[in-house]
Amino acid sequence: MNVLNHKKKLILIGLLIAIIALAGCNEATGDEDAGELVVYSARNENFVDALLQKFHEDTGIEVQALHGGDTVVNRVKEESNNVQGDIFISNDVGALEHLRIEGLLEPIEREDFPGIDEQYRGEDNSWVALSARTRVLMYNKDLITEEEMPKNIWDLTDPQYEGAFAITRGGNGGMIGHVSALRNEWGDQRTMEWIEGVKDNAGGILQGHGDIRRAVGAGEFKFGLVNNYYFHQQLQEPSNNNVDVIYPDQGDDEMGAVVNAAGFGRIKEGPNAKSVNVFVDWILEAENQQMFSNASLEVPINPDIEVIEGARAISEYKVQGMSLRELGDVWEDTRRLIEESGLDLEIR
Amino acid sequence: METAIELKGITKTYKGERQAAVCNVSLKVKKGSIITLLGPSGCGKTTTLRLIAGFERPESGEISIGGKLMAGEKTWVSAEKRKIGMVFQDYALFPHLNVEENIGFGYRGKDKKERVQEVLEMVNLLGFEHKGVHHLSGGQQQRVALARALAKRPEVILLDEPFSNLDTNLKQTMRNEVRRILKKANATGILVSHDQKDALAISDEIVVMKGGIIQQKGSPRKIYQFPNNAFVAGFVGESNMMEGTVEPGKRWIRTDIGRIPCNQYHIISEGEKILISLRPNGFQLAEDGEIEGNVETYSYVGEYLEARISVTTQKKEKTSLLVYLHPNETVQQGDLLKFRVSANFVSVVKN
Amino acid sequence: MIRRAPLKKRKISSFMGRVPPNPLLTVISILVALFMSIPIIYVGFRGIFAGSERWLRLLDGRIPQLLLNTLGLTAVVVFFSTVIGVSLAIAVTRCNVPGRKIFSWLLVLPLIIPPYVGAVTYIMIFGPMGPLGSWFQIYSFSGVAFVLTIFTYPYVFLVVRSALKRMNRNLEEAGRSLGLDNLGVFLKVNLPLLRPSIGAGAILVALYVLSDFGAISMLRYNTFTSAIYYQMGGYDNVSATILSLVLIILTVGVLWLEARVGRKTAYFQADSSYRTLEILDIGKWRYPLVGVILLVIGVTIIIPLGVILYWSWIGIARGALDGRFWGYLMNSLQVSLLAGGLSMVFAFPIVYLKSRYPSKFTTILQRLSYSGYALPGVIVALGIIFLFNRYIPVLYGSSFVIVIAYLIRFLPQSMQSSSASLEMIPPKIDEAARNLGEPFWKVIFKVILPLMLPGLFAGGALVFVSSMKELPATLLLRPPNFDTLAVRVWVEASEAVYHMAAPAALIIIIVSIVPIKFLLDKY
Repeated sequence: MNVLNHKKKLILIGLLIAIIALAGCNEATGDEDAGELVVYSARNENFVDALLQKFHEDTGIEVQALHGGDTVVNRVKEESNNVQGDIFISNDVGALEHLRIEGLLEPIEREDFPGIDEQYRGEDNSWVALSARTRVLMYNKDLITEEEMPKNIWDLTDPQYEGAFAITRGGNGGMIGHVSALRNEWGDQRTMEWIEGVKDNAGGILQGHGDIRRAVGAGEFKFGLVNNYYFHQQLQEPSNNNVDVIYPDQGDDEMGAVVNAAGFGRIKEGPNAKSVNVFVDWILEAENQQMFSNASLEVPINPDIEVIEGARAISEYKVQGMSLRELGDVWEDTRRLIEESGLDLEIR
Repeated sequence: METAIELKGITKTYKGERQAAVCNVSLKVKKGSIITLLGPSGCGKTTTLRLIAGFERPESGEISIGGKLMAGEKTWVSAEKRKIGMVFQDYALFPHLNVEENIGFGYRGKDKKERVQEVLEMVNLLGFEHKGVHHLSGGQQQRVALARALAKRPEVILLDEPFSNLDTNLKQTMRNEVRRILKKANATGILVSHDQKDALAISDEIVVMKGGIIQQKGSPRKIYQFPNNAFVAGFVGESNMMEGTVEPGKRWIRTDIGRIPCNQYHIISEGEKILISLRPNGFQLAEDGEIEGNVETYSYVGEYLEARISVTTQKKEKTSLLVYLHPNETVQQGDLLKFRVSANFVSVVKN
Repeated sequence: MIRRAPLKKRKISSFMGRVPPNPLLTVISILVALFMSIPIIYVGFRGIFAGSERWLRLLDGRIPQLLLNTLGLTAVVVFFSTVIGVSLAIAVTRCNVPGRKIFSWLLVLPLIIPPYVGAVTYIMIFGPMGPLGSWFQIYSFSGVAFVLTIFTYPYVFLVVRSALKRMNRNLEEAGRSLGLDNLGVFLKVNLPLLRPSIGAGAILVALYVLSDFGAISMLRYNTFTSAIYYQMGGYDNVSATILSLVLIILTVGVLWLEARVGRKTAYFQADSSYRTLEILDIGKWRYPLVGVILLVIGVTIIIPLGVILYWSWIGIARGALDGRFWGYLMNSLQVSLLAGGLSMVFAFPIVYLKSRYPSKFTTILQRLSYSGYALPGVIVALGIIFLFNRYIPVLYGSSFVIVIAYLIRFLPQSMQSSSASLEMIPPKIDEAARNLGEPFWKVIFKVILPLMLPGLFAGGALVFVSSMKELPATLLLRPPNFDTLAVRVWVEASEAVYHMAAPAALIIIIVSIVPIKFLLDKY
């Protein structure tokens, strides 16, 4: 039998002590004077990190951030009687509204929201949208000209574009928001026809918009249905950046481009109420709103804030009329409708 | 004499078994004596030992050690509190400890060091204190195991198949050694063995078991010469079994092969039909012997000459007898031999 | 009859006729077993009671497709990894291939690369941004099947190789003497004898494919695990429980197969007449065979390692090893060391009870603690999220929940290892110690634990390494500001920031070298 000698035993005991000490370290940090703030973010980590870093530097509040993608929505739901998070940062208003309707958000204690129109806030002010993301068609100028591009969303079902473009899977938040707006505009019947047509016509159904922009930039597809900031992101790439954009449905009798927004909500009964108030005041400062939008190259909701170079302010184009507030209500129905139309929610 | 251990009506059935491993066993062991539980595997001898040690719990009956109740209807003293020494089969020495640490294991007195020296001396292993137990020979390991069991001065030492792993020569030495050491330590010893030679050589008393039931208790001589049932006769040594009728005067038994003397007259009655066991050692060559037969086969095994003798019965049938002859004798196949039978090797057995 | 005063009374009516196990140890074992099994049982129950409407919808829509995806992928990967694993095992054990000793352990080496890391390396090559992006569409069924095959075939290879090594030459010669030629011996003697090992290896692969989340989701394929994960992103966790239940049933089905195969593996007994097998001379065929082996080694080891090293180098040059990186490393070490350490503590009571007091009861305890074994991490995470938030909120919300998930998933590794070392200590040793007057706990600490220590630590080390690699449960359970290296690999790779993903992957690979020796010893 293999038996350890004393020296080895000592080393092992030392290791055990180290483990315990290491475990202890974790507990030692935590509540400092300035307090802390727990942020659950569904947004891309790179868009949020610098912002939260600045918040910490400005206020001294320790930020605990969880960048969990879409899974954080469910986490907020599951933790409802054991609330861990204070602030939920979302890519799309649908998620914010969904949580609000579920009773998982609570009103932000503040009277005025300078520059943020009422329609971009929850009706109880439990969430605030900060940056707009508009559904656009980004195209590769090497492969297709502006003239050849479809000018409205319905045209995506046109056989002449068969195989030419990419869309995301049906379960993508941006896609769900888009379809919700189409239902609002067209009714369910026509929307389903559109989905069926687009699904068959599309050259690729990809996981996310990042994949689409890279693929279009690289010339795998002539164009793709994305949010406008992906276009700006692609422009910043060192290569594969010969792309341009169409804001669809801008004709007089057309519905206008579909807009979704990113913003934040206040999680109900979050553990750090004081820090939440500090955060709200801080994020509503103009420079921070701008930082929130600019990080992702989105366009600020607040018309007083300067947009990034080359981007079009939300006031410069026609916008589809559905209020973002309605998104949460129809979210689940829309998912079901997408599924029933044969567009898979997940990549298969 | 004082009683060291007493079992009263002990029964133990293992879970999932239908038959009891030990069935209504009662036994008294005198202080300072050495007894052996002897029997084939599965006879319940090891279970009995484990019951005494406290590794198994009886479902009925009582076990007392030194007059104190250890196991009973409402009493249970766990193994570590019984103050019994035990030598395990394969010795169960702690592989991570050296000789001294093994022997001193669990010893709580201040004189630990001295006591370890004392028992080491008793088992003739002085100087081995710091050896790892792996580096010891089988005999040395056994001495360590014995020393370990003795260290706490227990009144009772249990030994489970202590000699089964030793080669023949060492076995004989260790039998004597163990007996000497146990006697010197003035300890009561209970051995478990399936080897009749162990049992005969070392014990003051032998308890033969089979199927969880005690078959016979007695001194080695008594067990060998006067087995009281067929199983004991067959298990402890070899035996010729035959039926016979008690002759008037009860000193002779009439059998098919002739008259056999018997000195167990107090347990038989005239004219009774009985079964007797005749040890092969009970035959002596004699010109005037009443039993005669031809050598069928023979083999020389060193200590004696083992021969099968074909005897013609009174009914003119052939029967075969096993006989040990003095190794000095030379015989040939077919030789006609005449024997006298010694009553000391004739035993009345129950069926 | 005079009733004597008993020395010490202890009434244990239910154990009358039996020496009872130590009560504290029993209680601890029961607690551990429940702790290990309840989260998963809970997921199952929530799945069962999810409501018929949801069930019907999923049965109608997603479940058939997911079953097709999952079983199709499992079948293809099992088939190819079995073919590769068995042929390579035969090549290096039976054919006179030059360098077969070295090959025989080089071919095991892919096990140090967790498949999700392997997936990253092949995305780096064949992904849209990779140098060979146009050659092969990696985000496809064949891409997933390829990656999973090359990183799981070593399971089959290991098991079959060890069976071949133990195979007795006498049997082959018996076959020859009965008039079989080489092929006949192989088909009629070797193959039937190998069948249980091939089955066992294939089942390991199948269990792996069923439970893999990282590689599958990175390659954008969809099986039950990724569906469950993304279902957590949809707002519908009840559907997640239904999908989990289906996946549990699939896994249990495979485990049932394993139990059946396991019963038949007692073919190989190295008895005294054992003789090693003769090496077949395959003549000039040796050289193409070496080529194939080198190709496999290149694809499974050299290319992935090369890519990771290349990108790590770039990453390090660009300052990837900043304070945050060390923070992730510390996080990984903290939860993994804790899981490894606790796994030794948790494994011991059950292992000891099972070994020393074998009964139906202890078998149930052992089975319960095995519930997390082979079940996908997403399900374990779901169970913990559901159960802890609802009933044990105190334990939730810290890195400790991750440790619990690791324990549930990997405790059986620790149990196997410590049980193996406990079985080497005969129960007589315990009895000898008790007989010498030491009470139960002293026996444990003075005799049993010191003797078991190597096995216990080996088990702890295995759990540590598995924890370092763990991805899905960590993703779902990590508290804010607590990313591990595995999480970073996943996050950075999904964003195509390869130079940040590579250094973390490199550390995971280095750590994974530890259990290779253990695997090689075991097989």
